[in-house]
Amino acid sequence: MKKLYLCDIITSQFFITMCISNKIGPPVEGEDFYGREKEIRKAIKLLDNNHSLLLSAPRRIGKSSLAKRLIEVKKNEGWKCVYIDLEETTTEEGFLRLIIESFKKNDIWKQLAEGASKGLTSIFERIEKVSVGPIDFSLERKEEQEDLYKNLKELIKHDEDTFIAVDELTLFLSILNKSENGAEKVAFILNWLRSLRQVSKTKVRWLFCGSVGLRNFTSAMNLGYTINDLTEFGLDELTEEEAAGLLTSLCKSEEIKIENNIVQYTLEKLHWNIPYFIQIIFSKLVEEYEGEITKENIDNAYNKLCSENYLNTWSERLTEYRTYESIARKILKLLSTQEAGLKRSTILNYLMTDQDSSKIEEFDFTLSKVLEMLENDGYILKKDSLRVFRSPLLRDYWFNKFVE
Amino acid sequence: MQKKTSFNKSIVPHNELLRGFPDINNEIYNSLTNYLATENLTKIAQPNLIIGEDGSGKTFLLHKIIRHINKNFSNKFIPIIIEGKSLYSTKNIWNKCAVHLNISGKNNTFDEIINWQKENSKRIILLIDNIQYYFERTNNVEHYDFRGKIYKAGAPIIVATSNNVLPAFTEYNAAFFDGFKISYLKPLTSEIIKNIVGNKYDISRVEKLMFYLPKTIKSLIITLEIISRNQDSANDIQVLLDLYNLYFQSKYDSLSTPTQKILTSISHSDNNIILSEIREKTGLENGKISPYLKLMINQKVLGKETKTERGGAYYITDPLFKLWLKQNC
Repeated sequence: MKKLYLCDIITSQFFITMCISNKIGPPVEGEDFYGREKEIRKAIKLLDNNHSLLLSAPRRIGKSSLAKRLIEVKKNEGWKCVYIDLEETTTEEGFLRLIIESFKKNDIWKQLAEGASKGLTSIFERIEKVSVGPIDFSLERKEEQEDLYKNLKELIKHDEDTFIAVDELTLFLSILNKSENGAEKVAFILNWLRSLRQVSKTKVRWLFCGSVGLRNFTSAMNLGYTINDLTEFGLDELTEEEAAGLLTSLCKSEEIKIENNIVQYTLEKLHWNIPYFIQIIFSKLVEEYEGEITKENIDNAYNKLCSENYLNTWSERLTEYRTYESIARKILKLLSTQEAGLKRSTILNYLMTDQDSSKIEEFDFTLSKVLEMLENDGYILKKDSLRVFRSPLLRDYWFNKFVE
Repeated sequence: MQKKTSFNKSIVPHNELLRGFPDINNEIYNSLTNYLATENLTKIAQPNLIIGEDGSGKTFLLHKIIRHINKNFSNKFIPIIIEGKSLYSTKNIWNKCAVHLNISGKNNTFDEIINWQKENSKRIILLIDNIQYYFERTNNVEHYDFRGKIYKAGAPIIVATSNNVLPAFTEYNAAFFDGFKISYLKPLTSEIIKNIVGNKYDISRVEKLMFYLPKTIKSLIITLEIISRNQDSANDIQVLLDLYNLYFQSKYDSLSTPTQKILTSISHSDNNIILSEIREKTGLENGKISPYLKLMINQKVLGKETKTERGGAYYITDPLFKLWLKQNC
């Protein structure tokens, strides 16, 4: 099988510039994927060095697309690869079915050796029937559950280079946690996954991704130890060159002319150059302009996006913050004036203006709580030590509506 | 007793009238058909959501897209239309698809649909009209399940409509947060109305009637029907009120007595009206009025103008309902 090296990936960007299509929302793969060269290089190096990875990043940043791209790269290197999307399941049985079916489809299970135990033979026979119809499990008794997971672990081929990407694990575990004996089930699954990574000399590497932080989730359940072997892997905006390349490629695919200085102008306007924002501004350009794109077209498209009706819902939703609404509004108003973001201490000082200094502790506590709420609800994010609006569109909407 | 205007019963089919306005919503139609022209059988698809108020032509647009698919892409796509009112779960969506395709759907319906696509070398374009019903009736877990399936390479392509932007599309923790490409059917402007009407109708009569109606294509059709059949232009508004009489009557009857009292008091005021004036007119106490006002604002029956010198002033959002209340209560 042909190996795909980084130089191939980089070169391939040249060839895809004419056929990339603009998809807003779903993950992209194949010729629609653009850039992320540095991240791919880093992830590949880590996987090659036997690391399993944990990718947590805000929504719409391109986690699933990156996972799918890594699978393409590793498949081309001859690895066995599996992509498991856990958002489609809510139960332990569903989780097992997804694992068994996708492992079967991608040839991850071993052939059964002679003299295998009765339990192993039984589970192997059921796996073999996967293509015929859904398989049933009995997980009622703890021993049955333990046996099943133990047998599955033994059936995985650990001696072949394998890459398994698991998407939305935290989402699934959060739902499972709310079911009967949920905490126990969550702990069991996390421990089982950990035991798979601990098999001596295993060549199976994992990538867990999701927008809900697995670290926070596991530490809140005192299960932090189950993932402490994972290597943290970050994903932020595209590099300047990649962002420019993506916008240029999208324009080329629709035969829209755009000069380099206009590309730069657009990216400066977006400020945070994740693929999603480049894709939505491009979709407005395609709908409304023909021929050569000007700065005025960019301003119009951007202003239209900032005035979309749905952005009102972000302001309306703040009423749910009840007693914290007013502080949340103050923070957002302040942040909307600062494109680059602000330090927590600066925000605290702003809130303390004209207040009795003895209230510092109270304000400090409230600030932590409100910042956490705003981060969880997607208004802001923490970038290095700064708090910034997650979306440049929302920031400018806020500025136009509440500041200017 | 008011004089009721008689109304000609022969109704011109709306679709026929709509076909007379081929340029309405063309931008979205072109964008969707251009996208479908470039889409293939195996890629991850772009889910599309069209937002427009009731009567803005969403259903008509979906049917126009179906005709386009059948005419131009019948070799690669098969359109299936589902009414959102019939959906109570994600399973319902796939089961309805299975019925359309005449497949059993006994085991894993979604997988059977994918297999059907492979066997027939065709991809399904799933058009879900009024998808808001599905999103309002189901929870985020169901939405994630739906998303997981339509984000798969080669899965049916979704083109949906909704009369509203729901939290399910905009909340950060929602499965479909920023997950659709959203297009808006915009209200008809005076200029568009003038272009459509041309010289065939008296524009002043059209504008007078449209003042009381949502700026949608359906409203324009109603307006033109009234003008076509009503000889006496002085009666136009009365004809319009007669048309909506039963609807407003039942809306009014479903309201609580204090709500009826508050709405009546506002309807008799020419300007927007502040809380103290409502209290004076209704004789209700402040504490009893506020919860009803809040509820009516949430239900969008009332609007509140916040930046007035006298404080927040209230108004009835539907001018025709206001007129009906003024005449009848």
